[in-house]
Amino acid sequence: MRALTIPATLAAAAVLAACGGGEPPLPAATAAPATGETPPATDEPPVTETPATTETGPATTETAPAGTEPEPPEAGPTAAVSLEGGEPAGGAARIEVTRGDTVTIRIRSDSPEEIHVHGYDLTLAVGPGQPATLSFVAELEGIFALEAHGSGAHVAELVVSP
Amino acid sequence: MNGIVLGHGLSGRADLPIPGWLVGWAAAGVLAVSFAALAAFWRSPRLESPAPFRPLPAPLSRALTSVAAEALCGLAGVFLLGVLVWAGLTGDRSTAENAVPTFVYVTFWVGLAAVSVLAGDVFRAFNPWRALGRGASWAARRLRAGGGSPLSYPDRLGRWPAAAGLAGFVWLELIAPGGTEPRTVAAAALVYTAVTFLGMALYGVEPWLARGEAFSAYFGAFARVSPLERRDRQIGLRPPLSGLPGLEPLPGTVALLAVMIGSVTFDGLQETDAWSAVGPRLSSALGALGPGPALADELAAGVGLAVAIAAVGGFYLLGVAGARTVPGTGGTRELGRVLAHSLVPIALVYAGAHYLTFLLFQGQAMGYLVSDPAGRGWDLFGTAGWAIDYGLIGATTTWYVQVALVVTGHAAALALAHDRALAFYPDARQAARSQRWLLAVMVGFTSLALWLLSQANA
Repeated sequence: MRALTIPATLAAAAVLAACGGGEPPLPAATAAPATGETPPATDEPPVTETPATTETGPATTETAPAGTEPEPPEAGPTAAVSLEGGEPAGGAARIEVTRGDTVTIRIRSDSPEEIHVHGYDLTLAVGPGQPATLSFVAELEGIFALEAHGSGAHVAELVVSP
Repeated sequence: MNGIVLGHGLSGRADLPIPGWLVGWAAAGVLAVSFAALAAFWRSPRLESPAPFRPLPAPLSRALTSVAAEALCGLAGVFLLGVLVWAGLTGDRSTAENAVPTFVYVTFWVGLAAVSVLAGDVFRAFNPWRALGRGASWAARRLRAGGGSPLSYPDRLGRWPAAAGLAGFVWLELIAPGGTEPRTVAAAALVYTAVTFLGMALYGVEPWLARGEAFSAYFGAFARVSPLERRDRQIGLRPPLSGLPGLEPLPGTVALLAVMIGSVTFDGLQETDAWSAVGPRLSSALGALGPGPALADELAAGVGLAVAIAAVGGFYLLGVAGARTVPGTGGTRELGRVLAHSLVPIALVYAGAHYLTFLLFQGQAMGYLVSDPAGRGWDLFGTAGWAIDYGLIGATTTWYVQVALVVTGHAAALALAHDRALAFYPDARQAARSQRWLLAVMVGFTSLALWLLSQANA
């Protein structure tokens, strides 16, 4: 199909432990532009395991200026989603990207969940102490729902503009 | 509750709103069409006299209208209704795994409407209730258990039962709790079958189908747009728009079209910020009267749907009341019915622009669902592994098609209203004066359509 990568969550717990698991949680349902921020594990392939670092970007969803920065391909727009009891903390996020962007969505959850990106048909397992990262190229235009299969909650909207 | 998952009842994907610059161009196009209409319209009716008819080759016509073909299509319709009820009642309970919700709300409701526009009144051939009703009355005649229907269809009833039936269908899809679940859809199909049988038993098969049956009225109205027409045993081509003036001005016709336009309006409105602001407040206000939050949400949505339908019908009748100030006409109701066929292109482009990608994407789901209609892990046709290709049509193409549809519908509605006015009023000057009111109505509907397309999920 398309250049989609679904990272596993294998090393997440270890990474989290190494970084000190007691850090403040990610701001709820926010996304930060990747520009100006050091992407985690820059020298790794696009399948990244994201440690639960503190988010530094503004609490708004933005479209990264794709192609304007000589960044590695994974330096597209990033977003973070935090689930509390299966519901998105702070309401469903709106992740706005441009077609062709490599989107990175970091998801944390205090309960075991399976996150499904409609249209792209990507599924990702998250759980307590097991944040996970979804990284894929946004090739399909439209507005797609991110849904938590366990709770059935509408977690976020992925808005892919031409 | 959220728009993207519940919008149109089924889909996990929504259209991007039309960008402002394109709305501007579309509005300019609408204005250009409107002024051209005022300036250059013809002075004697062109669509009212029997339209030229170019029959298809006779063997083809005979084959398509043969008794065998009718029986085959009718049986296919009955078979599909049977599969629907069986799969819905006994199959997987999930909306996505079971073929029934997708079949009813995408393939049937939207897909068959598109087919009707292209190929004419196909539903009449496949209508399972018509086939069952004809079969039953044939059997009754054979058994001499009674032939004709006990009652004659009351003129005053007109298309009101069909309008009510359609409103019920839309309520089921967009509002009813579990309305897109297989069990509910199958149960609703059984209830509707019973209602239709009652109507056919009381008033006769054809009288009920011609006016009271909701889906015959819905697909039949769209089929009048089609270039293909059946006349007795002949199938042939007719000029564009020439089928619409034949829509009988029965009571309830305006209501039927108001339901068609108003329900799409409500479905679009649900995805707007305007509804996000009003809906919850309405819901909590209704909740204060006693019902629980879930019921209050449904009531609020029900009020929204009813208001949308009433507003569409009321706005049209307001324009008609304005046109009545031109001497030479009867009452508002009469004039409203006489001009109602001009709303069919508006209803068509509302549905077309709103459900275009829903049909193109969600319609593909039928490709794999048909192999496993009840969600039991079957693979009847080897297609169970298929998936929806969301790359089929991009956002930019979608926008252009939506805008082109809306502007074309506007032009068609103006042409139809103008032509009918020429036939209805004693002279062309009066007709032209009356049309300024109808022009205002059409501009209103077209602006609302563009606004809704520019709002979705914004």
